[in-house]
Amino acid sequence: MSFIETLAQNYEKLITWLLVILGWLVVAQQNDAREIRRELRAKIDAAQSCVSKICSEALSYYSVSGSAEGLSSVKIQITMQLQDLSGCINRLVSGKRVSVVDAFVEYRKSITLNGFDDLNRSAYPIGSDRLNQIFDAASSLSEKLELLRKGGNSKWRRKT
Amino acid sequence: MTIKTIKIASDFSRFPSGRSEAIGPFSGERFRRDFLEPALKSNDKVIVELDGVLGYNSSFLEETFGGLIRHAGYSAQQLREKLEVKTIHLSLYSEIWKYIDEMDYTAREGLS
Repeated sequence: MSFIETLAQNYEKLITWLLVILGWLVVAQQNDAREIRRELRAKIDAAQSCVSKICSEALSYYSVSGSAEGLSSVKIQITMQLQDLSGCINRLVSGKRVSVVDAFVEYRKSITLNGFDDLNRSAYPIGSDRLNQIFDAASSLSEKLELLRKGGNSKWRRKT
Repeated sequence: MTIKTIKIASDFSRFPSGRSEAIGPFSGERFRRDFLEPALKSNDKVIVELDGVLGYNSSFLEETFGGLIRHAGYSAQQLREKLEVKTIHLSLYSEIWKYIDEMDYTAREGLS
């Protein structure tokens, strides 16, 4: 009996097996996609939490005068956390220059460009432009991270 | 062609901070004046490696790289030819070239 004849007689079995394999591939792909989305969500949550923490510390930092006691350790903490957040964002965007990177740059500038090292600066009152600027930059960065969550899945999948 | 590599973490400080020298010894002003400007003057290309430090403040970055145009008289075009910035942080790369371009625009338009 030739191969073609055998195939013709068993085509029902063949189709059943093909459907099983196809179904398995679809399920495996969906599981992968779900896992990738979960990982992405966790990374974005961590980054957003870091943005809030730094914002809170920066607002406290500028709410007292530059000569206040213990401020240098807060300054170091903020600098280190910003560096960590930068690394975190790097991993999220995987080397592509996207708006979240620009938002992060604006955030770092809002905190550390002017007066960050000035021991003679006065305390900024709640509601002052300086504190509002930091808060606005933090909100903008958080929103950009949120957009990454909504629109970044397909890109994320290709990169990983 | 002469190439000089400056590793900030090992050649300058792991704790670079602040704009002016009055703030401390590891300021942007001092790094630019004592390390970057001499290297740019005596080499065809200078590579600055940024990684390995505690972190960077925007004031340090602006004074170091924006200051090359403001104080040392370079143009953004000249710096693109002579200066290479190496880092794994996209944000640092982006911020540095933003300061250079902004300061170049300010200098050309006579806005300062």
